[in-house]
Amino acid sequence: MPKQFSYQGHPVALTVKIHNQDVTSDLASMDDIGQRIDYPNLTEFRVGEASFTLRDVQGDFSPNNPSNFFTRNGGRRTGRNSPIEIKAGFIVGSIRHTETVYKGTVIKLTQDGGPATVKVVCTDNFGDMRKKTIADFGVPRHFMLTEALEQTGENGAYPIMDAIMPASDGSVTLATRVGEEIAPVQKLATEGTLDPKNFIIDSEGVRTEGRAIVDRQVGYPQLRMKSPYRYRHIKDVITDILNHAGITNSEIDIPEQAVDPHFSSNGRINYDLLGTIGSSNPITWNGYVTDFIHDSGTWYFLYNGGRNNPNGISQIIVYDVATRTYSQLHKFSSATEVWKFAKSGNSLYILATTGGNYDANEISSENQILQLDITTGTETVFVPHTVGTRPQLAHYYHGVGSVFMKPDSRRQLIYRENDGLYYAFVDTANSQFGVAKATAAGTAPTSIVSINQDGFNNHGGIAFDIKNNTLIGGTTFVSTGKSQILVFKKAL
Amino acid sequence: MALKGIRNSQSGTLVSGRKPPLFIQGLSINITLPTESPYRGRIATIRLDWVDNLNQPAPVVGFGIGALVGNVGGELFNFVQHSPSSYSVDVRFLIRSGDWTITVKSLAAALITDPSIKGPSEDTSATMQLAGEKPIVKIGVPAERPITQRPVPLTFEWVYSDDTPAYMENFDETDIDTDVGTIGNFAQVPGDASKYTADLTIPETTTNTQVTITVSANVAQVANSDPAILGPEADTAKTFQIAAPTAIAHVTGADTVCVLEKDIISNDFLNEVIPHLGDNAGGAFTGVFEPVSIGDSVYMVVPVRKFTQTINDEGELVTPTNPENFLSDMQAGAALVRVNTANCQFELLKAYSDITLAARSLTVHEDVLYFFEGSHHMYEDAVIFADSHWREKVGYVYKIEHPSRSIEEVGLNWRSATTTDNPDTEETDYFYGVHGATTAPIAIANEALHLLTGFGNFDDIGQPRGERPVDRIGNWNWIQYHDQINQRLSEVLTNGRTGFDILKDIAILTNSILGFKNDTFFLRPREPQKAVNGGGSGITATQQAITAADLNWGQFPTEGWLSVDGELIKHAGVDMLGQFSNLVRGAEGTTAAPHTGTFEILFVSHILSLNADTLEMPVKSIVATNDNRQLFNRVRLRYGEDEEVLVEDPTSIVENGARLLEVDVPLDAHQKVWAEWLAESYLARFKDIQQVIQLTLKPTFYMHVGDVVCLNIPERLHLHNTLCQVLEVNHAFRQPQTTSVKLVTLN
Repeated sequence: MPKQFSYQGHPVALTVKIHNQDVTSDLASMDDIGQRIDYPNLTEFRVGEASFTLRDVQGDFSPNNPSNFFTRNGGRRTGRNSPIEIKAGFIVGSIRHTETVYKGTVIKLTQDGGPATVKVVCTDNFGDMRKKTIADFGVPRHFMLTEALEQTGENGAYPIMDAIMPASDGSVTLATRVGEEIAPVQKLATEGTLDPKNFIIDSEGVRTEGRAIVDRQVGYPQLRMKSPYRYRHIKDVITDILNHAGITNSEIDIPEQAVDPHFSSNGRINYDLLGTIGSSNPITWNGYVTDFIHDSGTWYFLYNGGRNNPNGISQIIVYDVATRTYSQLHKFSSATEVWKFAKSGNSLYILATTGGNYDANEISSENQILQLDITTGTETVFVPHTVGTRPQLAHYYHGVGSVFMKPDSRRQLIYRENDGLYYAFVDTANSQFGVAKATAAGTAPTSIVSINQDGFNNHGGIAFDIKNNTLIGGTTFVSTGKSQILVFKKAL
Repeated sequence: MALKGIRNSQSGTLVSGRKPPLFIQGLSINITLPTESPYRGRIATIRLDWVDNLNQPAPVVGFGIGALVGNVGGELFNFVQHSPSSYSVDVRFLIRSGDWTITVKSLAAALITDPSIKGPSEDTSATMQLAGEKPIVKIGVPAERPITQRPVPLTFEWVYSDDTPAYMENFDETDIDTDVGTIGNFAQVPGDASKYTADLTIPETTTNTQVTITVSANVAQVANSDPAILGPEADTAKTFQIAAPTAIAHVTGADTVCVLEKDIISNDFLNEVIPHLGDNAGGAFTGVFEPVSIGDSVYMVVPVRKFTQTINDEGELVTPTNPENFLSDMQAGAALVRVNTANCQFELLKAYSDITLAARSLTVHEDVLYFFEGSHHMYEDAVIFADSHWREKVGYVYKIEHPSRSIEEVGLNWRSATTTDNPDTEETDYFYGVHGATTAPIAIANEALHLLTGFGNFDDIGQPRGERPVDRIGNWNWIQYHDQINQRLSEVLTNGRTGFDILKDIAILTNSILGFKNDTFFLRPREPQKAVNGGGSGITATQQAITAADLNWGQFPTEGWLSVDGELIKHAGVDMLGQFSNLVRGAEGTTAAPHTGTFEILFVSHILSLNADTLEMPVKSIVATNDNRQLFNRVRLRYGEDEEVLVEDPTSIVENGARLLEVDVPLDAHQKVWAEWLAESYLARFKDIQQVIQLTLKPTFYMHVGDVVCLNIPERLHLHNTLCQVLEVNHAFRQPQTTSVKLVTLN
């Protein structure tokens, strides 16, 4: 409000609206309205309550009147939660210049029959947020429970991994069949008729009354709950809280603060998605990110379902930097392990295996390179494991028991724009290994640089880098009495 | 008997025809040539014996090689006196056929006993018939025994007996026989018909055996010899032992290849990488990880493992039957290597005693190499580390600013699972450092280094409950290394809490105020809005435009005043470029002045300017109090389980005594930097005594909490353009209608 309309002897103007209806003409009196920062107590801001008194000779605001002002305007007869707006200002030259000094909702109405008035007590938008505990809040989960077979107690026990606990109050429902939604009870009975559909949830998981649930459909029992947000940005937490309270208008200014360089965590990839993908699966932490790429404001995470884990679900998770949200871009077929990837345009090229044998020297190896169109989700085999130049993932640690080197090197798969996909290969038929280039699915890759394999003594342990149109790679070579490091370079 | 002066056609010895005198009257010389005739040797020794007229040995003086004359085609050398009467000289023939004559000049020597007697009386000669020397052939093979090279390179060198080259013709591949393999690639050394090369190809199935190479007699002819001189005179053979072939790396398709070769046994590289294996250990390079190039250089990690071969007493390599597990018994190390591909210079940048502790995820950003150390192998069962202090060494990110070879520590990722989460780090708080590698890639984006990491053994991920550390929420995190507070809450627990509780927590953590203005929720910094002048070039006293930059939060206000070094400047908003124009300098009675360099701009929302004439209007009352309650010059901020940050302002403590502000904040144990920033923010705000000013105004509805007010009440209160922030606003609508405002002075 411009200062020129400040007090200069002008009369004060007040406007009161309920349900956006001007009731100023009914205003008998207005109590104080204040704003405050508790100081120096840190950060307790209050608008608090406002109250005013309306003249009500006709009982139009009476909560006992079923067709009172509130109900006529879509509110409750009690006036509860009816929106209130109070404006204050000055009358200057018969023109009212006011601004909003209060917005809130009605808490209660108090009738006074003597003067025929109704006192309207209001709270601002913080009102409910101050008083009501949060319920049914957090990251949604939906998964099948797995009974703890070793449990020897009288009740059924379904552990839940503590990483997603505690469940938000009011968020938990149990289903033993389609369409069922059972809320937890406060306490399990220990005598009388025991019903396993009575359940509680605590830090140990779900326990059902008397015994485990047996009358269930396949894929059940299922649990729905909400987990705490973790490593969530404070701006998103604020928005979550406001949305939960039905508050949509906000101005949040939290500037970034420069500090000394340090480590911090963005949280675990997939936490927000875990348990919402495939409700028939037990919730599991199986999996870990084996590679990631940042491109144009999006992170792509290659999420491996687990080493030699046929039940693992490998995925590609994307994270939008602008919205700070995760989503699942693609899910691979079971038993597909994904280890490294490269991106070009709308394609991701994924070095994967279905055989669990990472060494292309081995006949059982099923290393292959998949191509994923990120716009359509179409997955095709770009370089199959049946080609002569089979993709190499990790080499066998020759002569040392059965230990495989893990796929520790990320430099076995590089896409060179307007050229092709370069990858490390092993050609067992010709006793060669090296770097090959693939340009299209169905087209045989070509060897770019190759080295004689010499009976595995060099293990096919090769990796490379491409920069400035130059391929530089390295491998080692062992022959009688001598060991070599070989670094090769090739202009592309 | 040799006759002087008569050619002995058999021996070439000249003998005298005179009868011997009874006393010594003369001196002659017997020239004895080699008996072989025609002579085929390359060098011949000729004996020269002095005799008197009684044909007795006659010791002489004055005899030397200068008295000898050889025909063209022979070089005399090696003149030797065997006794005063017996001499010899060697001749090296330059011709291979025909006659060659040696002559002893007359009167070449004198009798010792009677120097007046000299001889020979006339030149004495002897002539040899030469028939040409047969060359020999030397068969050459590599000196290595047994020979492992494949194919075995052969050389054939034709020489005469004195090792001078013998230029041959008609020598070809078919003249060479072998009992193993085949001869191929036969060729004459260009420009030298005395030298030839060939390859002996050994079948792959043949490993350890003896090989004989033979060149049969008289298979080749001395070039241009007529009559033909054939060689070698006899079958010539070379016998040697071969062993399994030595493999050679053949890199196909590359422009250049740099090779660093080390002996598997006792190489210096190995000893540096895994010294704990001892002097007798052998080792080999085993694969290459993570090569990444900067210019012509490439950085990479090379595992080095104890080779399974040892050396026996005879110096032979022996392969043990039970190789040891490299993970469980410290049998492998690794090296961070840099190779300059322009000159093939290899550098060992860092050696690791354990492969599991080696550099990982080499990543380049603007010619700086970043990596960390550690591997998930560390959690393989029964891993024993050569380095017992490995825990203290993991968890770091390092960098190398190319081309320096100095490895600098970027930082220790102490943000970790708690010690109770991870029993294997009871004494430490390491995070990704104890579990990385495969699942710990690094990427650099948006001015931050990102890495994905965790701890634990992913082989042991259990379900459905997270009973193992690896299942915990702190595991496999997305970590970043950057210079801004990562405004994320590690956990948002809501049960039993209100929404306001959560919002209040956030406001505390960000040093913000929150509330509703009309129906819009706001949360903004407690600190007033500030900026600096863009460019830092200063303004004159009359300049009417200022470009503001680096606004600390929010949007530029649309109206109000700029407060610059005590001058109030009225503005009416800003353009898209942050420029305030049409400014009113020296507003509200302040003095327009030049402001030089970079200056701070504080945005003022309202002016309350009073003097004796207006004191009664609109202010109804003013109370200013030194608010000792809000003086805190020591801040203890508690967070996490039992962590805390304590900061203080010594100057304020000296002046005012210590006052402690204690705050509990919902940060976790790993958000130390955030806690430190917050503690410093609070200290900056509360370390000085401020005045709290309470004014009762006529109704003033434009005032809001958080606004900055410039208070100019020189009379009585001596407030000269004092900047304050609104703490409270209360509107009373009953008579008398007032607005009460509570302000706090800003530093």
